[in-house]
Amino acid sequence: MWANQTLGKSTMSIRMLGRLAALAVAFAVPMLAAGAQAQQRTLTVYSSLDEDQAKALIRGFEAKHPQVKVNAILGSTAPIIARVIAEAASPQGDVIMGNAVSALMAADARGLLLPYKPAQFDKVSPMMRDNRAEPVWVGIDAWAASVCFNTAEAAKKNIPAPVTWEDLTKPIYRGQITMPSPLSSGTALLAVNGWLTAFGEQAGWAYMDRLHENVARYGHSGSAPCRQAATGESLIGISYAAPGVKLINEGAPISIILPSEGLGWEIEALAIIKGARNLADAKVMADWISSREAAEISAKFLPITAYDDIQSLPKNYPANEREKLLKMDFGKLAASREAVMAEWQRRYGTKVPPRN
Amino acid sequence: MVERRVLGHALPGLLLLVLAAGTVLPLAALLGRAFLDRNGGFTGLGNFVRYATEPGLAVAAWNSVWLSAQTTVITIVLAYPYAYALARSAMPGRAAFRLAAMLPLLAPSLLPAFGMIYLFGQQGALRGWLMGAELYGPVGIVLASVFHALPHAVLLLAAGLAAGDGRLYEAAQALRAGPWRRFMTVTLPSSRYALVSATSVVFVLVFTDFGVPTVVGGSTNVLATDIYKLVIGRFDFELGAVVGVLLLVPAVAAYGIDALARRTQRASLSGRSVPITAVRMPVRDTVLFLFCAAVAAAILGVIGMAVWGSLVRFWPYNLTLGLHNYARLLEDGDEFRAVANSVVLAAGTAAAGTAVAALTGWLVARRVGAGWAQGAIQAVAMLPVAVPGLVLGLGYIFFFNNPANPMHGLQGTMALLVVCSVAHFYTVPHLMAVGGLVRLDREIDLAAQALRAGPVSVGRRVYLPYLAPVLVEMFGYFFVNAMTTVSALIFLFNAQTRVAAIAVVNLVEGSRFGQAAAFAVVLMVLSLVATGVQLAVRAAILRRQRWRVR
Amino acid sequence: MPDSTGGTPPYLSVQGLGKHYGAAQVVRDVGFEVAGGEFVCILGPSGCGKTTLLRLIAGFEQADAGTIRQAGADITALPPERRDFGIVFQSYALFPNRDVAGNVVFGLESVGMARAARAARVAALLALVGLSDHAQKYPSQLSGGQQQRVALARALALQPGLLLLDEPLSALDANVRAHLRDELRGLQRRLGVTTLMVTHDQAEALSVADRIVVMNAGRIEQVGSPSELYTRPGSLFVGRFLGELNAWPLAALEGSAARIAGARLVLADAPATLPGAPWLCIRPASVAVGSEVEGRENRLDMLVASATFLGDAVRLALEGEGLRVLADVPFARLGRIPAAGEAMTVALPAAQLMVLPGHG
Repeated sequence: MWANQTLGKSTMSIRMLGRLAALAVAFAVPMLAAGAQAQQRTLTVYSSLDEDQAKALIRGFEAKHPQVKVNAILGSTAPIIARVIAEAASPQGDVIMGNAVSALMAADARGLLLPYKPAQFDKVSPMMRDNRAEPVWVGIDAWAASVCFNTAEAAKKNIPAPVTWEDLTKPIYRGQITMPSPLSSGTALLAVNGWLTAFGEQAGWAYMDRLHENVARYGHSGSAPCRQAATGESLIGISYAAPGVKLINEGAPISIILPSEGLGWEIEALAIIKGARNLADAKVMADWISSREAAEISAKFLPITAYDDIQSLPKNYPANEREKLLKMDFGKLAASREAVMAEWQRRYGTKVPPRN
Repeated sequence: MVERRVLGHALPGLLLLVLAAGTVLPLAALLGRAFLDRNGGFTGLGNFVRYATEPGLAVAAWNSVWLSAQTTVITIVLAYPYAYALARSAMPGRAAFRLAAMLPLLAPSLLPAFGMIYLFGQQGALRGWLMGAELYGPVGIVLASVFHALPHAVLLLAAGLAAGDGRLYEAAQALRAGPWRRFMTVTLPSSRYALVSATSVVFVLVFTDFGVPTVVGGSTNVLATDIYKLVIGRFDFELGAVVGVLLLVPAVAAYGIDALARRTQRASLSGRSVPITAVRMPVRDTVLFLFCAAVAAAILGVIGMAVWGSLVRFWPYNLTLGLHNYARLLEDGDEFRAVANSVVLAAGTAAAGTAVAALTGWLVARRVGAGWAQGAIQAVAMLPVAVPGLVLGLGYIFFFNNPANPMHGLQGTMALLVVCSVAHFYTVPHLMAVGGLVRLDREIDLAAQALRAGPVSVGRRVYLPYLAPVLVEMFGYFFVNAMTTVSALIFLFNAQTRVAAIAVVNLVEGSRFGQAAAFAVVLMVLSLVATGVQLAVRAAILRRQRWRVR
Repeated sequence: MPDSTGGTPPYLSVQGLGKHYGAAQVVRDVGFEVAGGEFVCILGPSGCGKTTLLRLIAGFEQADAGTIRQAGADITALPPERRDFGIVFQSYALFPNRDVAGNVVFGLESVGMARAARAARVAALLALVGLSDHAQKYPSQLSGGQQQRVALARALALQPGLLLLDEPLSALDANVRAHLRDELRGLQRRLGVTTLMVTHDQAEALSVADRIVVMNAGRIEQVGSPSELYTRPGSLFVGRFLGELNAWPLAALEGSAARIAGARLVLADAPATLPGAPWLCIRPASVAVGSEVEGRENRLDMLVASATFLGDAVRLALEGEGLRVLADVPFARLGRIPAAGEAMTVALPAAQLMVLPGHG
């Protein structure tokens, strides 16, 4: 007698569990749907460009190709590439619209990028394109290692502005400099490569030995040293111009110095991810990025773009960046990347830098 | 019987599967790479040897251990009297002090980092307090880590101190033990388990945290930032996995210590314990009040500094106050969507997480179902606290983004972000549920069984109402954590699921501090509102449940 | 009084029951029977396996060996919810979130009884245990005795064929305990429900049980009515467990007399053979003192070592002739409390002397 009733009771409880499960499903379905909605053609774009520049480019692209909706995932250079490498089993993105070429090469070395020659590839400045037989990337813009210098703190401490890289090794700047570590920042790597190119291998490391004496700390982010200079957390940040420009626009008392010995520099480029789900539209994007129209949009943010003849100097951007670019052998630098990092780690990675 | 079969193996098995899919399997997918070469071939301990020969490892490992130890000692020294004051004293304003201690949990970690820099950085108002030492480096890591770990320690210690046995104090008093001797002979030993678990949680938390050392660590390398350098800087997932394995070591040790302490503590609270009532002791209460006020002032100072930073035009050079940073946030529709996504994520995480954690807590605490499943569930539930978010997030890509995985369809959905956040913050709510339910007499289940009520029925009719206030707390914990978390999601979000905490990081990277701070303040306010609702609901439940009144 | 050995089959029958946890054998080869309507106590020191035995009968534990039959059916393998019993725990295990009526109605809800019928049944049960005025109170608002009654009413709600009581009175203070003990007994008689109660308190067992099962180290030591067990214990263990006992190691039998250290005592009916480790025993209340000793055998001249006033009696500890003897003497007969050192003659009546095996 009891058995029946108990059984009835427990099936009721199980029905309750079922109801709970239904509720959970009801909760989950819209969330799943949010990811899977695809009435329009969509293109998933990874980008490490400056947020405003990326958004402007996407607006330009969507205006030209209204049938394609761009879903942008913006992030820093290295995490975006790490994500592409990690997602290799089933690529989630279609195209990387703007990432340092040196980082793109790491993905290319793993065979994760699809060679593609965009429609207007030949019109792009030769310096700004992948000149291999099967090009993987096409340049969007370029930028160089620069120095952010806090003029307000300098005035308080009566410290002169540096003009050359060599100036930074003077005792007066001891403990006043921050720079990113090339082990975690592409920006730092290009500065290091610049010194090795400008001074030569041996003199370059000797220079860094002297610089090390003055560096207060090495960080992880390429733009952080400029931000720290801007807020007076340091006097000098070895970084690049773009964050400095933004910070000046925000009201930071800094100047951006392009040292006279020449600048290590880097191209930000587009590449298509191998296995892209929306390959056709990814190619449409690559074609468009290689156009003069796209370069003109980028020129509002940076002076060096894919078309040499577009002359621009965005507000507060330092002049003559293009003239100071060093002649760099990117193939050789890509090959020596690991070796340079190891040498840097050996020399400066384990030592605690001096404080003041 | 159906229910017997369902509860015996099916439900525990299912829950174990869900937990494993959320934690163990993704972790294994990443950490397994520690034993593979870049092409997927097995290399045994080759990567460990490779990592061991990297220069700088010893320094990073030593920094991790030494800084975590320092932080743990300072945190516990501050948290114990604070928690004691909350749980045992009659000082005024205990509710406010409790909320103040929880504040660091409610803000995205960048906010206190800003506050810390504004206070103690090169331009900081209180820079002199560091006595010439520099914020960026060990000092900054310890300061910011203490701030970050304090709420966890206070929560655990206050819970442990609240659950003492009043009879022991009566006995000690009868034996003419003075207040200090009573503290040393009764309070301290009876809170030993809480002390052990708070100590291990703080140590593991600091040991695996990567946010603090990147912002205020300067050049000081720790193991957690090594992962970042290896995986993000060098795309060396194999060595990164090695560091991930190393980061789990203290957590495994802590788990062992915790289990040991749990065994020795078990018998001290019986069904006949007398609840402790706060006794008024004017001198002690005044001292504790001043101490708590100092700690709370420090917390509020750091947060307040950051809030102030969100209101000025450009710190430290243009201190014009105004809401322009907030106004500029409103200009961007993406940021609105990010806030909406955050709320959906937080609510989804809280709902799903509370439901699952309540179930696993119930199975473990009331020993429902097969014994093997209970042990396994407990072990898996303890794992997430030891896993850095970065490691979890990467593991999620490797596991869920594998086309061979039947759950591959989750990739790129908000549901996966929810699963990841539930997994990331699972340990504490699970322990809250277990802690809430083990207090009830074991014979309750037998009595119900004799009254023809199966475990599900007694769960619904007795344990659910009993656990209700704890469920609200679990919900709140999941909610505020999911609201502010970044590290695990940075690899999983896409255009549709970008959440506000990630937007804050993007703003910082875009050198828009003011807006980043303003956005972080908005998130903190949302979390505060959620906490307010949580407290109100909990109070309403307690008021309605008249049976709790003695 | 029902007779379990009579013609009608027993209501509950336990045979060859065994249970071990790891290497520890907690219950070994236990067998006994309970007749319908009978009140049986399982009595033993803590750790003797009596609670495990109760849990086996309830189905909370599964037996390794043996069978349990209830009302003719083999229930050994049934889960608790399919057995027919009500239980009161030592802790009462009341549901803290339900008021008195809510606790009592719990089982009725489980089996899906109609609302109106439930209300009537709860009212009747509360009246039965005298808690009609407290229906809306929560467990935390009740005294220990009231909680115990709620637990009892809750256990009886489903009209179980068997009532199991696990040390139901041990958490109460002495006065309440005695009162509830009598009430429990009266209630059981009135309802006629077959009852099995586990206790370690021999006074409790002696006063409420129809029969007592004495357990020791997992085994049944002896089964019998309270008076049987008290007056004719089967072993030194049972004799000592049921009350105060004078016991001396028995060196040898000399005809119908027993030789113990320091004395030779005459027995009324000497056993033919001695059991293993034999003891000579007598209850303190059977020891004759003062004027009673006239004409009795086994007289001993002793000195009072101490005297303890017990209310209606005085317990004398006497020493002499190499023996120590406890004697309980009605205070009314003595009229005073003897002083230590006072000389006194006692007699150990031959009919009251027992020879008991001392094993276990």
